Formats: sequence, structure tokens, C-alpha cells
Amino acid sequence: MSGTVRDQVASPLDAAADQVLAERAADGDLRAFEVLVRRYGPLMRVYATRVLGFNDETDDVVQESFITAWQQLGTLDDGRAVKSWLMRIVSRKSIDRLRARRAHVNIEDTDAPAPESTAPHVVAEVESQTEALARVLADLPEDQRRCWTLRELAEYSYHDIAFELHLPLSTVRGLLARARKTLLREMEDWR
Amino acid sequence: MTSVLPSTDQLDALVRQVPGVESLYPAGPLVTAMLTAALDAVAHRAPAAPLVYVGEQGDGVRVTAKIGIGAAESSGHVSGRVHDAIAAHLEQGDYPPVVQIVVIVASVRLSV
Amino acid sequence: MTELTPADERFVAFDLDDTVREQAELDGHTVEQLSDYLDRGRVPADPRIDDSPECEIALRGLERLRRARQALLARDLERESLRADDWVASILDNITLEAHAGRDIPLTHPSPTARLVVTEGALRGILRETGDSMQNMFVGRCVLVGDVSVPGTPILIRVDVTVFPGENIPLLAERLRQAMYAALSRYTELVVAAIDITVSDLHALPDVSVREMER
Repeated sequence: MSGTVRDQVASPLDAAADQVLAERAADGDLRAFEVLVRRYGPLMRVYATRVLGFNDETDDVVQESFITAWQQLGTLDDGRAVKSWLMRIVSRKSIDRLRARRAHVNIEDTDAPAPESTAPHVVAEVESQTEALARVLADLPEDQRRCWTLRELAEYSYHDIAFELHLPLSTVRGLLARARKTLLREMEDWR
Repeated sequence: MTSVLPSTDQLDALVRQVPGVESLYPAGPLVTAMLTAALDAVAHRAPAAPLVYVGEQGDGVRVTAKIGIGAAESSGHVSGRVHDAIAAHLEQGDYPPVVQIVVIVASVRLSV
Repeated sequence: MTELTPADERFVAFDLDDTVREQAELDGHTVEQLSDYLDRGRVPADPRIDDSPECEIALRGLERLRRARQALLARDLERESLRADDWVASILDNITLEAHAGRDIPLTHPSPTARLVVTEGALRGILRETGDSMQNMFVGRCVLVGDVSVPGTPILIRVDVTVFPGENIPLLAERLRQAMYAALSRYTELVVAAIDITVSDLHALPDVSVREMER
């Protein structure tokens, strides 16, 4: 029956493609924007949490990101790219926070503790690979984890990571390689 | 000459009562609105910024109201009625002469 | 730099510091190269990698890492979805219509002190809502072309519409056009010369982008 699509669609806009939502939001449609917030807000929060660690700042960063997005939606040429555009905004805001935090504390290796990183070397034997990854990630040096998160969660290119973090491309490659190798080795240990 | 500016609180209430007006938005300069909104957020209180904006212009007064309207009538009708209500209010009091009354229809809500 | 013990011999390929040993153990490749190869979906196929048992072991490790990464993301997203909804409200409360108000479109009034306008943003809202009241289509971008600041100037309206599969597009477009004319004449004083409707088919099922997010 031709009504199948319609039947799945409880509130029509929830099912609209990114492009339609982005264009409507750029025209000032709050309802379309709300759908985008619900669709990508959780991913942005997960991402910001991985970069910043678990703390109050995550909420602020995600909120600021969406406010910026709302104001600048008109500059987004291709509405289909709204997801990566949003990820870029939240990345930038998260990195800004990290910089501010570092300027404030002035200690190179400050790192927000993540809850998974309880007792680093006490590993439950039954720990699942998911939990293992979460814990190893939390234990990575901050610069490595940030590169890895940008690459694997935000799907940045090496070049974009270098640009965002103000690092030479070779440094980014080195950090990512170290992160991957550490993760691989640790994952091997808990197979 | 007593040139007391009209109270924005009174004007807010007046505009809200005009038939067809569904919502009232802050009409002041953006900086003022954002500043007040930020202060409100810090203090966790309901928005305190006056919504209808009253400014002096030359010897007179310039009033701006930004409204949202419903589906019943045209934007011309409702905004005209808002204008007339503000004009009548200002005529009654001992206020400076009206230079301009600006009414901005910022949203039209067709559905419920 | 953080102290890290040298890799176990078994995992010498993952030695953190010695690229030479890494390459020696991976038939001349690095973990980075293998990781990029995997990201490309192992195409175009590289026999020097595919035929190497050492690379195969490393690739399997990388794949396991990728699955764990996906599982972790899925778990985190699930946790997020269980959160109370108030974060959405707090975002929406903090944005204003101001950013997208567009141009002011004058409305007539006999008083010389009156300046009545309806914003372009409000008009686009009327057009969108008119489309939303019709089934099996999404109204996308709406553009008002012409000098809207001079009352009586005929303007052109361009509307992008996505239509669900199986619909009679010309019929649907005509109904939308009539509904938009009616709404504009009811709520505004615009002189509308034409409403151009560009229709595209809805190719993909609606939930594709959501699924993609969990990739």
C-alpha cells in the first residue's frame, strides 16, 4: 500500500531528511531545528564528553554549539552536510574549552578524569571489549585521545585535525599512530 | 513640561490584550535583549526585559512592539489594532508626542 | 610523556616508538597505513596487504577495535537517549527568531506615525505551515524574490518541496500553490506574481540519516 511511509511517520518532520531540516531551520523554522537538536544532540554530547571528560562543561558546550548553529545555518551551503557541520562546531567549542582550561590550570598533563578510569590497573576479567575500550581511552594521554576522537567519532581528516588543533600534520599522524597502537595492544590483552 | 516616558510594563500588558496577539517578543536593541536574557539566565528567573520598547527620538517618543499572531486574522489587521491601542494609551497620559509607533509581526502561527 | 612499557614481543608491530620494527613486522607497512586501508573499505585491493599473514592479524585487531568503538558509541548514545528531555528545551529557550527574521515587509495603515511590518521570516513560516498541513510532502527552503520593501511591487516566490514516492507530483504542486496563494492573500498584502515550486522525489527512506549516525 502506498500509505506505508506515511504510517511510520508519527510527526512528519521527525522523518524529514537532514537537508530539508537544515534548509527549514535556516529559514527560521524552530520545529525543524528542534528535530536536528534531537537527532544529533546525543552524538554531540557523547563526543564532547569524550573530549572534555565527564563534567558540567559538556552541557554548556553542546548548548553553545546549537546556538551558534542556529545563528549560522544560513552559511551552510549544503544541508545534507549538517551532521558533519554540527560535529565541527562542537569540536571547535570543545577544543576552545580545553585551551581555556589549560591556560587556567597551567599544567600540561591535566586531564579531566572519566568515570570509567577508576583504578587503571585493576581490570575485571570479564570486562567487555566495550568497557575495556572506554577505560583505555580514558587513560590515553589527552592529546592522543583528542586526535583519536576527532578522527574516529567526528570523522575528521588528518589535515582537518591538524588545522583544528594547531599542530603539524606529522605530529597528528604520530599521535594517532600511538593512540591506535596503544588501543590495539590493550585490546589484545583483554581478548 | 513633564516628559515622563510611558511605562513599558503597562504597554506590555496592553499589547498582550489586543485580540489576535498570541505572543510578545523583546523589541529593544539586540544587545540590550541579549544582556538581559543573559542576566536572567544567570539569576534563573523568568525573562525580565521589557518587551515593548520605548525610546526617545527628538522631542518625542518612539514605541516598538514585536508580536506573534494566530490564524484568525491578517497581520495587517492585528498589527493595526496594536498600533491603535498603543496610540490611544499614549494620548490619554501626559507623555511626549508620538514620533512613531512600530509594530513588527515576527511570527504567524497557522496551526495550533 | 607518559611512561609506557615496551610492547610484548607478540605485539611488536604495535611498538610505540620504533617504526622500523613496526614495518619489519608488518611486511613493510605501518599501522597507520593499515588503518587507512580499512577506512577505505580495503579498496582498491592491495595484494601486498591482503596476502600478508602479519597484516591480516593486524587488520583483524583493527577491525575488532572498530567494532568496540561502534559498540561504545552505541552504548553512549543509548545512555544519552535515556536522559530527560529538558536539555532540548534549554537550547530552544536560548535561541531567538531574530537571527532569521529577514527583511521587513511593510503593511499599510492610515496614521502617519504608524510603521507596521511583517517580517520575511514570518512569511516563510506561513508558507511552511501551509505545506505542513498537506500530506506526503515536506516544504524545504522558501525564498521571496523581489523588492518586498515597496508595497505593491509584484514578487516571486520560490519553494523547494520533497514529495513522497508514488504521489501525483503536478497535482500536488498545484494544490500547494493554490493553498499558498490563499494563505498569502489572507495574511499579507503582498502582490505575488508567481509561486515557483521545485519538486524533488524522496529517494531514501526517512530514517536513513538517523541510522547513519550510529555507524
